[in-house]
Amino acid sequence: MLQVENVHLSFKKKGSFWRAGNKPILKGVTFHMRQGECLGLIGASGSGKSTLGRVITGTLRPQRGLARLFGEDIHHMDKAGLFGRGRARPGLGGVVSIVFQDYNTSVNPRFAVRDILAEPLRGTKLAGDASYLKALLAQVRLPADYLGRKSFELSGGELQRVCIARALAAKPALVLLDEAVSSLDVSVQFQVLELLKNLKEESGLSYLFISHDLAAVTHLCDRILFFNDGRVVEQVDSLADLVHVKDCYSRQLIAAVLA
Amino acid sequence: MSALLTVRGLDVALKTKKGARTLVSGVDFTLEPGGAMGILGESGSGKSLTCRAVMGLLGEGFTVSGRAEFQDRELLSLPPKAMRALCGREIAMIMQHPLTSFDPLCVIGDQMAETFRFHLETSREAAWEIARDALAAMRIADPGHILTLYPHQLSGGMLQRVMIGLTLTLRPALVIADEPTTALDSVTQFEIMKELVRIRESGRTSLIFISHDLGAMRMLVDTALVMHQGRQVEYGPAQAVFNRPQSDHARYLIETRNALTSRFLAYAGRRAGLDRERGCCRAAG
Repeated sequence: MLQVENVHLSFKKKGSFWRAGNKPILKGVTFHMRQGECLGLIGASGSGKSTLGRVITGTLRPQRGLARLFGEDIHHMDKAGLFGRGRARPGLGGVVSIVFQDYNTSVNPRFAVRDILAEPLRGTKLAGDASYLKALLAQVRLPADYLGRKSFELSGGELQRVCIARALAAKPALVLLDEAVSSLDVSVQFQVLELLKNLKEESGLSYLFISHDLAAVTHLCDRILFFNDGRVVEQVDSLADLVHVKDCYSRQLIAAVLA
Repeated sequence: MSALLTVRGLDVALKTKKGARTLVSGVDFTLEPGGAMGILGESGSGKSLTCRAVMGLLGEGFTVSGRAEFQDRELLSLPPKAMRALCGREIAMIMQHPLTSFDPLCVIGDQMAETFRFHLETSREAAWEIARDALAAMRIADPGHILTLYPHQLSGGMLQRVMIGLTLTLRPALVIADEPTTALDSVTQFEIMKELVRIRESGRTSLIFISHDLGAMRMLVDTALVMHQGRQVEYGPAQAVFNRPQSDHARYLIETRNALTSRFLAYAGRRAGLDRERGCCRAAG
């Protein structure tokens, strides 16, 4: 479903003549992902995980290499179809949706839950269909009367559930979870991960789970990519292989969590 | 030996248009010199609010009542000037978000020197020298260069170390660490935890460690206080609280933590032994 091939990306560094230049962020990233799979991408802060996520959602264009979704170059896909309104892939709905880390800043504070959920459906009949929006809330185990509530009336865990429901609204094939549980406390984290697990089983979704928390990644995913300094440094195809990891950074990460 | 900090019947209320709303009620604990206490609870349970109330860091909208005795001084009735002299020198706090705890417009060196000049009454040059030594003590490479950088030029882990270095140089009797590792990745988190263990083992400084992460807390504390919806639901020796929790909420927190890590431990549990045998991994150290 998703193929990322030799993706290179650098950002321009500001500064004086001697300091200015290019700062490489992604240095030849290659991996593949099957439909219905949950792939974990784990790495330190600043290693380029979220930048890779932005390449996959088509918001950043790599200087070299390409990212393909269903065989099509993401950067040349119709953005409306990619994110929501189902024009690019009729019948399937949107292709990619995202759940961000900071739930507070990823919703408009003036919006009620009804408007938040309707955002990716704008321009379609479903946007005004209260029963569809209620069904979305039921999917994330929230009561129907939450439709009229504002974001500040919800707890962190509830608001992140609304963000997950928004991500599911356009029936995507791939959901990108960018540190989606990192800012929640452990018990809420567990509830949200269980919810994601159940949703995957119910709807056959694919997840690309970007995180720095190895325990959360192993809870949800069966295949893990260890990411460091803009590269995939280790690929674990089965969790049983975690004990055979060779790369030093990946071993440090495992040892740190175990300690 | 008399206790370093004794808190009795601490209540925190917020004045609202509809009247006072109680946010924290009936918190009691005692911290011995050289001891380490953990405050465990979910977001919004009142962990940080309790510590901020003790340090007098809450705004005018809050009402704090009860008793908080630190080295025979009643903190809750201390005048602001005396409290300011005490904070940093005797009681220090390590914040959760290092990036928002520093002034983005000043270089690290100036910010550290400002604190040292206030508490140690030294010259600017001497304060910069102390700051350089503080960073070197935190095993930060090239401390002279780091002092000339702005906060946004440092990583989260590095900034957190700067904050710990700043805190420890003044040799406070009590350090309150408010979720110091929550925003960091696992490897950096482990490095910071090692620094906190070092503080604890020095025996000079007592520690209050606030977290919702039971794993981090197990590594550090000898007493644990569990909070839920502004109330203290359990308090006692850490091993007893973690292994035989009496309250439903403490049991729930411990069970969810175990459930979250069970899959990882089942697959990677043998890893720790392997790394020790091979002696390759720094973090396992």
